[in-house]
Amino acid sequence: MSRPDPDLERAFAALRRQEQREGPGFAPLWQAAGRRPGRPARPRLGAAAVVVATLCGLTGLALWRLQPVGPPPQSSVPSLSHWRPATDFLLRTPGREILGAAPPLGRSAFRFPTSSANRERRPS
Amino acid sequence: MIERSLEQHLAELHPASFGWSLQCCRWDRQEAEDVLQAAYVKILDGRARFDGRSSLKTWLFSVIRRTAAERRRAQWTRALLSLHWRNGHAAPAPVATPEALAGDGETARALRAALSRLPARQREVLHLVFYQDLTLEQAAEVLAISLGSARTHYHRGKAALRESLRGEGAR
Repeated sequence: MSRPDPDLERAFAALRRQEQREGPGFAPLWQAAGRRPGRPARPRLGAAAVVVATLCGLTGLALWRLQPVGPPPQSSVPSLSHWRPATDFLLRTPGREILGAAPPLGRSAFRFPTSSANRERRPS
Repeated sequence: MIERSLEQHLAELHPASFGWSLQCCRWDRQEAEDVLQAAYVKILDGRARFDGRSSLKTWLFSVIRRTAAERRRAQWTRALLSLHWRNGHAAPAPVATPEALAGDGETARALRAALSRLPARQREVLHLVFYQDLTLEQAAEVLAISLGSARTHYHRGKAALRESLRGEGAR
């Protein structure tokens, strides 16, 4: 930083000499400051703020814990095991049990009139 | 031991501190003494603590500047609440006019008058650089502004001060 301002420097030096010559001494001000009671307002204010915040927190927690605990709300969406497609009725066709189960051996699922059966019925 | 050393340093800086306090209080001598004493109280009761991050001088000047600003705000608040008017007391201490400071040297008087016409920031930067011999970086630290901002205030202030001093000389 360049300060090629001899006029300003001289003027400020004159002001400094004058003000500092007429200023109060250090000792009276320092001793008066030592006698003056301090003002520990901020620490007190800080402690009060911490207490208030803690009380608010505890009250909030208590209110939250006192809320009645009921059953969980029922879901409007049915579970997958109960779900049926809307087109399920189309599969209900006659004879669909043949498709759904293995046919038993030695027996037909349908009754057909046979010649042997007719022979049995005919009295000899 | 440490406190003793701090006290010695503060005693050495006291004349410069008083000059800075005067500037912060716009040359109201009584107010400047009160501000400086209040700053010493802050240091003594630990509300202002030097942590060594800057030089002692810039730290002390910051404390003084903040203390002066707090007192000014308190005075404005009291004035707004009209306590002074209702109680019949005088208004907050007026800015010392150059005429009121009779007996000053002519150069000092002219400079003070010219400085009092400058915006506060420019006045502060010029005081810190020319009166207190601080660098622009240190001045920026005291005023809690950026270096670029301090540089701008410095150049503008210097130009305005020269202009103002020319006007003073012409009178």
